[in-house]
Amino acid sequence: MSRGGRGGGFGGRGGRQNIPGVSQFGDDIKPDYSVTELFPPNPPPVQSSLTKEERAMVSRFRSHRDKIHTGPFYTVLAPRTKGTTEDPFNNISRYSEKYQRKPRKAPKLDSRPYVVNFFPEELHATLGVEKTEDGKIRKKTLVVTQLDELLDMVDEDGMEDKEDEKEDKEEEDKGVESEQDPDQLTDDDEGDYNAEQYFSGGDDMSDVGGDDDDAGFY
Amino acid sequence: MSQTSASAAELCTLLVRDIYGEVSSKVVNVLLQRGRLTIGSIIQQTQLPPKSVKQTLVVLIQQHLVVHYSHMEGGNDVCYYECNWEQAYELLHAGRIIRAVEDYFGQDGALIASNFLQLGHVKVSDFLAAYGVSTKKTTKKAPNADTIAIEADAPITSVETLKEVMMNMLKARFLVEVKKEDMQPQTDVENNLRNELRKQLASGFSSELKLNNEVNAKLKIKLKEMQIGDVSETAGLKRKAAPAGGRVKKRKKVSIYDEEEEEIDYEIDEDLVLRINHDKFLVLFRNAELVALAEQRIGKVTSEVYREFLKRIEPKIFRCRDNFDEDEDDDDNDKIGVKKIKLSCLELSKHFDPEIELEGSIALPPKETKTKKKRSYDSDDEEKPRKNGKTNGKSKHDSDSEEEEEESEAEDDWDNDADMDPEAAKRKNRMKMIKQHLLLLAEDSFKFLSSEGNRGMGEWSVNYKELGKTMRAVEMEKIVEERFESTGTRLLRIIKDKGKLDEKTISNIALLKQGEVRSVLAQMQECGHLEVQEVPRANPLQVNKTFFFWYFHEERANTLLLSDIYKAMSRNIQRTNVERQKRKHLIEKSERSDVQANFEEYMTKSEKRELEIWRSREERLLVQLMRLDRLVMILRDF
Repeated sequence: MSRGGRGGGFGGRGGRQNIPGVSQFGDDIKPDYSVTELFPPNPPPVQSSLTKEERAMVSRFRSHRDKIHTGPFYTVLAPRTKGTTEDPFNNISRYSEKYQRKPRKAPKLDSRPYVVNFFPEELHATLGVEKTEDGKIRKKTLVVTQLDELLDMVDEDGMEDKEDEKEDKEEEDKGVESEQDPDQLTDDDEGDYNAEQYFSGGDDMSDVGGDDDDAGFY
Repeated sequence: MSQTSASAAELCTLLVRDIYGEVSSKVVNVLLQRGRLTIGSIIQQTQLPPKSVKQTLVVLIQQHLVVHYSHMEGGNDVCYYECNWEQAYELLHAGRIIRAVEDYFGQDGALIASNFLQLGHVKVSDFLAAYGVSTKKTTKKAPNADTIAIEADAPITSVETLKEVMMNMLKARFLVEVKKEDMQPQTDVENNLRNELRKQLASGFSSELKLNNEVNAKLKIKLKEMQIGDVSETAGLKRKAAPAGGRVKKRKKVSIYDEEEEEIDYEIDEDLVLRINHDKFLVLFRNAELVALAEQRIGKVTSEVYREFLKRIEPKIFRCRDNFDEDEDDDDNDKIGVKKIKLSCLELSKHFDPEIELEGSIALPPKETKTKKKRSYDSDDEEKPRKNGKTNGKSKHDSDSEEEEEESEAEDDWDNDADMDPEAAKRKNRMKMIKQHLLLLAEDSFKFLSSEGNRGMGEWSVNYKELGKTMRAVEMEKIVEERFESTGTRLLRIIKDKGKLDEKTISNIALLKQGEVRSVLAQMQECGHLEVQEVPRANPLQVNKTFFFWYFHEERANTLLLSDIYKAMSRNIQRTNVERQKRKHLIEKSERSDVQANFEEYMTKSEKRELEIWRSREERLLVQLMRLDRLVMILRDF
């Protein structure tokens, strides 16, 4: 925490009134010109042992975090490039990948009802608010699986499938990335033959531009 | 409070990344770095596709991490987004909150709290509907559901129970209603209100200045009301429709949490949108901290009494910082009174936890020695010699003036009652013990309680503001002690006590050599614990003709320390990420569904060992994070 505290103490501080090396404290103190050790031994502090209460708290925190991670709102960035520069040993497709937990690249928003009033108008379309013919907002029920871990995975998949069918109708305004159908082949499996993958990658890049250029507009 | 420092911004970005993933953290990062932005600028700054930015904003708004406000600008509405960094910090409290609710409402409560934290805010009816479905499903799938019940989360048995627990959580203000203003930035809410008030009051005032003053005064009250929300007993509840069939019985059985049985049946209003009330939990955490402090200073049993005391007044305290200038009274909820929250010994003892063993926990002053008490003191002596010694001396010292007459008067009562009813005598004796403990708490130099009069065997209140200061000072001293050993603490205390001092005086008071003092003071200034002021003696400024006065600026020292702690927390999370990255493949493997199904078979011994190391390491890092979080709460929130 206080690495280099003693050594840097006199030189580094107060650039305003004192010339480096000359003490500001008067004549009775001789500045120390000797070479100080660059990394003086500094034993790290040791954490005191965990109490029961702390363990309980952390385990709650972890399980809570895990629930969010498996839930609909946790998203990771799609890997930008899948080129030859990456590790050829570890980055190959494997059979076991089909068991892997697939992180979402976009949040699954239509899995739950929203209080629409709380969102700005421009996001209403994104919420997936569907209006029935008579202008009322169709009600959605909270997906049970995100509340309870009592239901097993098979059930969850089944439910998602049902929903996916529903979603197919509104496919146009939903992004390609929001689909996480376990039965479909994903990007990883398609490998090099998926031209669209590159295309969408390029799409991303079109936004990139120079940072300075962008800043000019705003 | 609401300003973001760079280190806090970094921490929040890391936290959001840890909980909600990379995309969310990218958006949050941009918002924290650049302030409020329109959706167009966010897209530009993050260089993410518009689609995912929009989706991410929905997630963040749902979780209250981002607030938004629409302005009329050039004829059309423009919506600005702003990151609510304090809410992002609250992500860290999830574990604490779930744990606290578990203490109050058991497993059911914990499950509800966890779900609310996951959902952000949710309409009660939607929440209930989800469970309505879920309970049906579980009964149907019961045979093959046993593999998933790894977690000890007990299922919520019925919607009725759920409603009941939720209502109690609402009453305890663990859950609060979400209003439109909660989704908007504080400044905008304030501006709106100001404009409204201005329009209302404009006609009544002649001068601008008077109007402004009036508006400001009213604004303050209104904002406060808005923040606290509806505090009446029945807020968010509605009269229950005529009870159908056997439901009433069920209610009674469940309502063990409720202390007072109500006459009228209320149930939760299903149109309400609820969320976790983080402010209330901070109050709980503060109480826990105070109890821990009391335990350190006085002793175990006394701290238990203190815990009960704080628990009793806790329903009347809504937010940590609110009770500083004005306190709210229980009797008239809607008005903001200036009365202090008091609790008498009598009231406390009525609901006192019978589990707490008070007998022999305290030694009475020798003046009123009875053989019985004497014995208990002796037997307890080995256990807590220091505490009892202190107690003994102190109580003697204290029993003067008003307390004394009251005590002796009360004592007479007990003597009379002794031959009446053993049960009643026992209760009275117990009450006396409680009072002794309360006196102890009030006598301590930390002033855990302050006496408010003699009604009901003495009334006490808690001065949270002063206690908060004390707690901050204690933590500050601990850190200074760690960095500069006892010399640093001594110098800090001297400077705090005397104000601005020059080096020579300090060395005289501290009885240390000037050179020694100088080096420590300089380092302390470097760490931000102390400040130095120059006062020139002669006109041409010369270093050797200048006084250097050292002083302690509490607020500044705290802020600097806080930012150090934020940094430490960020490093902590980064370290965890590095450790995780090191074992990336292993962790991925352990999360595979086929491996999860037969863990023992698919994982080798060394892999299991490595995984175990990772788990314990992460746990240690997280615990450290929680410990730092405790410091942050003390320095910032309490």
